[in-house]
Amino acid sequence: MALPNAGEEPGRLAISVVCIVRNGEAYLEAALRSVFASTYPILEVLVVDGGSTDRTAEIAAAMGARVLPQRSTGIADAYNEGIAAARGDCVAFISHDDLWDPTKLEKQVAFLTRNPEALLCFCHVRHVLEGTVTPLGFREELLDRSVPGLIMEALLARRETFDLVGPFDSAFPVGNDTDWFGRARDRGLELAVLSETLVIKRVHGKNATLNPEGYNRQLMDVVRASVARKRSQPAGDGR
Amino acid sequence: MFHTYRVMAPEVIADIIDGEAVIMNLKTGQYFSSDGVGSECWDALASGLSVELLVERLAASYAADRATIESAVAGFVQDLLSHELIAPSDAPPPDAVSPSARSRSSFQAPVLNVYSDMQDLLLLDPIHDVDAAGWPMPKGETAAWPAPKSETAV
Repeated sequence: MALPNAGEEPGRLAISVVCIVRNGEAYLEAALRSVFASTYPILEVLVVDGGSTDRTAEIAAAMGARVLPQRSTGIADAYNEGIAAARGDCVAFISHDDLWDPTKLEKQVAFLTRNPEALLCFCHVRHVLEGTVTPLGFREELLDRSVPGLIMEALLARRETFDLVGPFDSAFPVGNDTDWFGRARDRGLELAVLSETLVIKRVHGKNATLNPEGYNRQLMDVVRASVARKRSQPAGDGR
Repeated sequence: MFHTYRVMAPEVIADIIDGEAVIMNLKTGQYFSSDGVGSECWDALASGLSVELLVERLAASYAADRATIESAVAGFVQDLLSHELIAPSDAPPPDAVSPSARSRSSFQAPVLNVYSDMQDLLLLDPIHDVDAAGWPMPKGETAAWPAPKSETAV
């Protein structure tokens, strides 16, 4: 696969970009275009397709991404499959409805290069509402301002991070990222967040029925797992 | 005079699992746990039992003097209030639940464990739900999209 800006220079961190998506035809092209506009060379873009019934795979392939039909189900295992297939030294993530700043990877790689002990870093993100109606259940206070992006889509992580922290847990269908970050922190990893806003997240009602109650129930499971981890640690840790 | 409280829903959600109360405050991003007597207290207060009846119930169940229990429960209630997990309620208390018939065991004052380590994570999480296959559910679509290759339930 020849990406316009692909390159593996000695001593330079090679970056795999993973996009997990199901039925993302509306925004996928714009998302991938923003990835390919990166000022830092990208080794590969992997699109893990969770059984899309629209033109997702076609668009991804036409854009020069490698399409991996998901063999498992759910978001957690889609991430796991993408990470397992990634060949880069680091893995970055993008959602099909996000837009990257062209300097996102450059700035994040510079951080990891300056801080060789750091395994990962995030950046700030801005949530932008598509249309006029905030989807039910979305935290309005996140809209239209730059917030620390402790989310997958703002993460750049060295690949050994995933060996250290372990896979995303499919027992948490939607809170698996929160669980993974909590586990990373409990292992002593610093969740560093760059001050620049390098990701724009579209907020729209088109692709998600927002059901706070169901979601919160799943967060409770994540939180309970965290309590259990704290209990198995020496007192005072992680509190 | 009876003092009853209500859970500060919808910002506060809680569950009792394996005898432990796990409580999450979505407004502050803090979460809490309490086991033993604490879990018993949370369960009782959350279901509208008055503090006075709760103390009575604990006094019947545990080998401790009433003053000790009263002060421990008052402290616990204060903790719950200060973390905005409960608020005073005007609702009349339900009928007294009869104390359990078990023999009186030793009393361990209820403790509310407070965790702030995931605050930033919980406060930044946009809220969404998923379909049966574990992907965000498109609007207007029930979970009736073609079955994935693997039928593993998520």
